[in-house]
Amino acid sequence: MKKSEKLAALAVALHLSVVLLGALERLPLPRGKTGPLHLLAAYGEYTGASSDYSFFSPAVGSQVRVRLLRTDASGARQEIHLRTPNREVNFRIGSMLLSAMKISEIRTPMARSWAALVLRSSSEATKVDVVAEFYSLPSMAEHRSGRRGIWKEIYRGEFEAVAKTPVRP
Amino acid sequence: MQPDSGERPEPLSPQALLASALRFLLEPARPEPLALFRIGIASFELVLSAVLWPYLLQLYGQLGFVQWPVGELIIFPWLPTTGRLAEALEPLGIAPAAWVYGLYGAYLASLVGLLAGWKTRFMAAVAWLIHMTLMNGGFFSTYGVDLIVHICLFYCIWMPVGDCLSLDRRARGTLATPSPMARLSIRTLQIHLCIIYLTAGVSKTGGVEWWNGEAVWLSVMQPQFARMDFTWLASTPWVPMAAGWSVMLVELGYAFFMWPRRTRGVWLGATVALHLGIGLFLGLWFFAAVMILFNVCAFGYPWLVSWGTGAAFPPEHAISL
Repeated sequence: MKKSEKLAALAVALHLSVVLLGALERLPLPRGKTGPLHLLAAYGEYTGASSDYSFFSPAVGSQVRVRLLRTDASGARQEIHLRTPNREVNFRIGSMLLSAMKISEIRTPMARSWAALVLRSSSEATKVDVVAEFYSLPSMAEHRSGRRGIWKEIYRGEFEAVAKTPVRP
Repeated sequence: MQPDSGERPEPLSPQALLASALRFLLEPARPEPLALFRIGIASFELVLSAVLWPYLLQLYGQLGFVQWPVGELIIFPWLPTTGRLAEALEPLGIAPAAWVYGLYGAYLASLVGLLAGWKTRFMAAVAWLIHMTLMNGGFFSTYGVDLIVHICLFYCIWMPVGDCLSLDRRARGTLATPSPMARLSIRTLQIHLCIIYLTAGVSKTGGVEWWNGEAVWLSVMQPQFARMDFTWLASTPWVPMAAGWSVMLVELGYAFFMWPRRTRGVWLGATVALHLGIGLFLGLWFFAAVMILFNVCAFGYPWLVSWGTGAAFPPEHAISL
């Protein structure tokens, strides 16, 4: 057994240790602007070793949808859903909406992004209301007693056409 | 493995344990499962890319579902993103949309190179770097499938995935032989999968929804996942409860029952069935496919060989701990 192979085995052991800590969500987060924890975080991010794998657990998250209510100069309104005919893309949109609503500091910037999509696509649009809703699904017992799933509003934002494209200059 | 000194150590001495660990990690193995891993991941990403191609600018573009500056709000400043690289290249006068298409084109080219096993490590490194850049740029619209692919592409860089069934091998004009690095790589894939399933299983046990079946009910009843009418489950709650328990059993048992030869086939079959179920009942076919691929390359290659050739389970793949 060569020394280089033993070193490779040691490197793999260290890598898998980071994978385990990442999976357990026990990797220390970097503080300040520099330091060894930044190196560890960078390693985890670049290699994927810092990922956690709690898909659908410990609880299943609720689905979020967004309705974009476009108003034009005449006052006419149109409702647009952030969906595509492509199922795989819709999963990704669903993931984006869920993340956006979970992290409070990015909700409004994200909503502004979606409003900008509508405002850019139509020169007549003067305003877009962004309405995010989550799907409140009853438990099995509640379903048996007649309750059904409904969409409940969790966010509403209003964006005027003057703030059309807050993109990088 | 015999110790270097020639003296036989006590069975549980540190020396003996180290020797066993090294043999477990470095006993030479054939590289075919790794070639399958390379070909599978590259093919998988090419198919997924074809599906996402019409929506490239919405997913990764400057003015897509999430504008670049917004998406970068929670991305570490030292990570590459599509937007940050575009900004760095701005003096060259490349339009943002052209940059996204150019970057994606380079990604597809690197995947084709990886698939063919041509300059394999370089192609894997390029694919990994671009995949990460795109993933960070469209961070909010990524999910489990992108994470697993990112990990697999990183492994393709340093593992000997081009040692057989590749243009690199053909150019060398030699036959692939068993190597310690192939064994170490296969062990890495195996242990990584054990960590994935064990932590996922432990995480599920912490939620009451997985014990009473509500998690399964909530999953199949969500509009985005709904493939068929499952309202009847509410009248037969033991069915989702049994499904939830089965998922936890498969995930928790994975790290223990995939190693012994007697139980590996059953557990691999159960794991593949779990992912087929995710594809069938939730429509997450891409996630299901990449996990099945990962599992088959790490643990299932001997079965593929025996099914394909009619030969018995190759003894070199049997593991005794």
